[in-house]
Amino acid sequence: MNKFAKLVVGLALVSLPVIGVIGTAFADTPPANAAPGSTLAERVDQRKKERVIVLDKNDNQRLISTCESAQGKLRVIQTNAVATLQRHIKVYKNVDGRLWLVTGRLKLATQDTFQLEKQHLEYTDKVAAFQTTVTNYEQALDDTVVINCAADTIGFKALLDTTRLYYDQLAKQSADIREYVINNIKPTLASHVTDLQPKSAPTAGAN
Amino acid sequence: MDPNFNQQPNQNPSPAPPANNSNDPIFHAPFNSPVQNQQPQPTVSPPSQTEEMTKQPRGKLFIILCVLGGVVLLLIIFVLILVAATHKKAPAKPAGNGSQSSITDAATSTNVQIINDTITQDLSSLNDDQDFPPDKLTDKTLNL
Repeated sequence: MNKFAKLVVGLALVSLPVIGVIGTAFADTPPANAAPGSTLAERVDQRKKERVIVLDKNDNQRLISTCESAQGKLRVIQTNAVATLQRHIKVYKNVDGRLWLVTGRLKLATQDTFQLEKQHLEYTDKVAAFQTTVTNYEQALDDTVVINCAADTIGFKALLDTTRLYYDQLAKQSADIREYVINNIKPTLASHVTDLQPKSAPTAGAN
Repeated sequence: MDPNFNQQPNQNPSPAPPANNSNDPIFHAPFNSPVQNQQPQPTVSPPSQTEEMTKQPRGKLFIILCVLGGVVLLLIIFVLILVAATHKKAPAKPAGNGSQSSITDAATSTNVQIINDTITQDLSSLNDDQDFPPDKLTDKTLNL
């Protein structure tokens, strides 16, 4: 084996792990928001650049033969996802409304609402981030369902990976919102309940 | 002129058969005598005044009844709408003490506790484990 061939083989052996590491890094990178008004082709290109998908021949063939049935399952998931996510948003908005109400009442009772208002603001930001992720997730899921997956397996894989990342984000954000309300807002409200309780008069004849 | 047709212009009510036409029984009667065996014709008399007078009050009564019925119907519909609106506006009874407070009431320990409990109920209606299972989009689930 001449020197040149050895050099090529050596470079290939070194570069493959490097590509794998870079690909993994890209795979974990949170996807960027799609540009408003973008077309499917533009979003597919964007996700391909973000995910850096590499498919060998076997993976490609397997995807070609199985992607359409996967799209059928994804359509069912898509239909159920809309109702589930809207239910979450509705509950978060209800909680938001109750926080506004209780803040107003506490102000009427001349209570200090600084802490509660600060937490309310942070809660609002978390809910807004959740809603943004919902929009991105629904778009990515829709793109995954409509793309011609057999003709563009890399595009399909990139979109599917993007959808999975958004889905994981939704799960984390939902858990985070719940945890924030239970561990921060509710204790603040409980402290106001204690402050508002009528003070019992000191008992006479203690001596 | 038909010799069998005998015209008798006289006003004598009793027909006197002419001598020339004794063989023709049909035309024995004089011209102006009443025709026998004629069926009496029904007489149509105009409606009497009493009938007209009874019809007018009936018509007026009908109109009055219709108007009254319409008014009663409108009243019933109005009452139903009011009742439905009252039910809709009735606030949901809060959990706990059940004391209903207005939206502009100052906070009390009770109503803040109620709101706190309601927030807990709102969050309890969501099930993250069910809504976001970790294996929802895996290759295994999608048969990829």
